[in-house]
Amino acid sequence: MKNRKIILDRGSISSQEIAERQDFDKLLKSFKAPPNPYWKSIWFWGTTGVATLGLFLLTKQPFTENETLTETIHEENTTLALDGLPQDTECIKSPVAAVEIPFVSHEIDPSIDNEIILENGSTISIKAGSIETISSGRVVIKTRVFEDKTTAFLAGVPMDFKNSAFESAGMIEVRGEQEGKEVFVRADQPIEIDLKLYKDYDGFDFYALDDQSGKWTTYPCEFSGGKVDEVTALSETDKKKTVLTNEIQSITTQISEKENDLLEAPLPLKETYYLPKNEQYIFTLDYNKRDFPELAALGPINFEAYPNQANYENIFKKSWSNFTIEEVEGKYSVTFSDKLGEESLKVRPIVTGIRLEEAIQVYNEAKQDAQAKRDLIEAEREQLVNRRAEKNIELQRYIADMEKRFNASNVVYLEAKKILEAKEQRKDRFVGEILTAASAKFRTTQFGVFNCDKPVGYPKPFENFIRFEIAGNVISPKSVYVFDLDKDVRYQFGSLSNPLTSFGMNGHENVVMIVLENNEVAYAHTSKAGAKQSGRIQLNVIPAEKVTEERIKTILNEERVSA
Amino acid sequence: MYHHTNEKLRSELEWIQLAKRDPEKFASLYEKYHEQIFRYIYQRMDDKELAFDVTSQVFLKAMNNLPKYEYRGVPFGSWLYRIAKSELYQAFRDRSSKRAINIETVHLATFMDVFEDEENEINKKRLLSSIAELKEADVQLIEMRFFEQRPYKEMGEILGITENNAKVKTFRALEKLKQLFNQNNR
Repeated sequence: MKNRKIILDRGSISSQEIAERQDFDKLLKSFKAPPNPYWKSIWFWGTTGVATLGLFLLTKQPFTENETLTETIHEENTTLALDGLPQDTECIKSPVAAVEIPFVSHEIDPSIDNEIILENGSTISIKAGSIETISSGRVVIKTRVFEDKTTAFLAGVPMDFKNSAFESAGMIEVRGEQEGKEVFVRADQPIEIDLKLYKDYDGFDFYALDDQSGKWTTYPCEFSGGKVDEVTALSETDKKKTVLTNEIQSITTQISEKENDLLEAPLPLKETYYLPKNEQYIFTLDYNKRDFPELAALGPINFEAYPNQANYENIFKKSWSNFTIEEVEGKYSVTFSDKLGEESLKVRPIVTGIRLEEAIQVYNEAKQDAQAKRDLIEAEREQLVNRRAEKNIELQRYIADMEKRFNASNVVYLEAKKILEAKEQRKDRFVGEILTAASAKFRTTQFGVFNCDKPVGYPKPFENFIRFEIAGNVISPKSVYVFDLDKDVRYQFGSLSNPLTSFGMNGHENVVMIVLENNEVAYAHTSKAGAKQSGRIQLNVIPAEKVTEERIKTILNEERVSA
Repeated sequence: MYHHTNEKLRSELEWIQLAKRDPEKFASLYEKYHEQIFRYIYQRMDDKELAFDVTSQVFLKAMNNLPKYEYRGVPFGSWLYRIAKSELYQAFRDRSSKRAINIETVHLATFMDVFEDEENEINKKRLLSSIAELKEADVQLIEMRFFEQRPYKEMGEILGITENNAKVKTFRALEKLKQLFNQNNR
């Protein structure tokens, strides 16, 4: 039994009483206007100043312990850092000033071995003494993992290589900072990064970005996992799984509809047919038929009291000199009164004599009809439940087959299985997880941006000039981005190597995007044929305050399904 | 009335925007929703004075959080109901007040009809103890639908689920109640 109190037939409270208790003035007095920002207050600066001074003195203390321990830091224990980041380097500059892709900060002790595990499973191993530190204090390692076009675009990572654009299979940015200043990796002690990829690396190469020039250069790495054939084979099996899962979902919807139908087809109530339910609560009243024509229309009637009314016994023990009947929204109550007081009883009218027999017959027929209807719905529901159970068994068999097929000998499967075991709730993303089992492992003596990429050539320019229009007005952008949704590539026109006169697009689904001067973003879903035929691209505008990562992801069809 | 035409929703939104700029303008929203919110709270409490206190707390919280309020196409009331729910449970935790379920005999008769059983003292006790045994989420659904007689659309908006989902969940809660009722026969 839960900790609850059941209250039966508590008297109602009138609207007037509630209205009398309204007191907006009192509420307004209790309401406090939002305070000034904390950083404007004196106490903040006093407290912060003292704390900062204390921290400064503490970090200046010599650090004597010489551990050989390895510290493992999981990303979920770290914080998103938007403030105090190193400035964007020259070449990494967000095209939309108001939207920033945040770094994730990991605080480490540089005097011991550290392994940072990122949310996507990538790891960064930093041996003791690998960082050229400023002091003996802790170092903050900041990371950004780019797994889609949106984040790479909004972070402002250049994606051109020679005269091609990059299609990425996985990209990471790693920076180091101590006491707010940039730190570096020692030339003789590289750090090791195992970058999990979200696509198979077949046909891809590995690159590092030169922060100064903004150019990519190839970088040695060791690819592992994620072989195409295994993934393809698994995808085939997974397709069957998807079909089955969809079928199960569809049956579940049908079951819900049946349950809904049941709700909409209740059994008739005796009350509706003016039938008695409890013989002992029935009595006759000589009421005024002109006052209640709807009751008179029923013919000779009795009244039946609703059961379990506390005052029932009292009412029937006494003789009353008067009574009144009241009707509110089809519900009746009788108030009996005499000189000493009054008592009310909730009642319903019931038919008598021949009318009663007729009503019983009609009620029984209606009940039979309703029951037959409900039985039919129940039977259909039952069938659906059984069908769903069969499909579930079939699905389990497929999953078991899948396990059998890829068991033991297959490294990819084992790695994926490990991930699956850790994330049991994410089985529907099975293939995706297997793909992330592919990884690029590399050792580096520099912080920066590293990328597993495939250069994809720029499309052929349009033969005719293409106009860009917003609400019928022609605009002259400095730079135009074209996202090829099929090839998963971002082209940028407006640079020296790819001027706007070379504007073109592939014959796939494309999104054209222009960042306007006031940080508004204009975009259009368009095709090569459409643009060529009309000679123009009409763009929608997202106001600056509504430009968010989520919004851009929606436009580029990159919304994530939450696990 | 809880439900609104589009026009009313728009004018309510104007009130909200005015109140965001000037708290005194919140008065119209307070007057409009005070009774509804009080009745919702009092239905779930046995102490009238405490129910009035909690109601005031709901509106105070709403005023304080109004700058964060975002219009989602449903009446402002659904936001207030959610605050009310949270404040209610806070009151249960803070003041050792028991969760109350207010039922009228007339409502019990409806259940007896649905369960096709006789209305008598034994069945009444069985039904009451079955209601007391239901999980909180199911009690809420039964309470809203059968004791407060709210339309499914409104239930959906208060609970943050679709109208259809509210129907299905209520049906399941009713089935559970029926099961408990039948179990309590022994």
